[in-house]
Amino acid sequence: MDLESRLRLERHVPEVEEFLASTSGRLVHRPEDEDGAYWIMMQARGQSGEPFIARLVWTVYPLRPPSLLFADSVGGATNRPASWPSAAGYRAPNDVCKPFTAEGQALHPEWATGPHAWRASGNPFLYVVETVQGDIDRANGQRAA
Amino acid sequence: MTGQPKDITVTVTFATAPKPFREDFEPRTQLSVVLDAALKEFGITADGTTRYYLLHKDDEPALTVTLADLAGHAHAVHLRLRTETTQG
Repeated sequence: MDLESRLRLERHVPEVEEFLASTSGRLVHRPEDEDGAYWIMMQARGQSGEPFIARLVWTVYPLRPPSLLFADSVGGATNRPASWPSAAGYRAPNDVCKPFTAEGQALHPEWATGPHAWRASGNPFLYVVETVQGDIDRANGQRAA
Repeated sequence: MTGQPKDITVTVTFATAPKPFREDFEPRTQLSVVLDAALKEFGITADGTTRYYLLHKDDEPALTVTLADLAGHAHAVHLRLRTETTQG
């Protein structure tokens, strides 16, 4: 990851952490993680128990959407359906086919323009985390398996 | 002597917007009007594939709710714009 991307990400992290604190979530970036890689503990609003662990990897920030997968633990495997939310467009354990993910944009070149185009303004990191939280809330925290 | 009800200052934040949308509205204004104004300000054109909605204190009020209903005795309301892709 280039220096500018890293610096911009660092500037946006506090807002993400503030949001996650309001939803009993947490952002994790370990020393051994590559630049731009984060593990996000999230759970449906008002629920307790085992959180989802979203693995978010940014490459060029904020110009490109992140890769989004779900893991069974911080640093763990992403190939277990039970780690994934049962939400529309979340195709466990392969990808999240949504306009705010690298996987979704790669599968749908037509999303590059128009209403599904990636928005690089403001705080895209916060945008992705808020949107995933909304999807998990609507799924009532249900898991794919 | 009763005066006109004061306008309510509405602030709508959206994560990918460079700055919040802020405008005064009459208290009887429905949220649907605020949503339309905010989308216009943020340069978003609804096309039926994405649902845009407003959160007030973590709840999603109906778009028919008025600002007076939301604000109570307050003269300002803070809303958060969120999106949900409904068709890929």
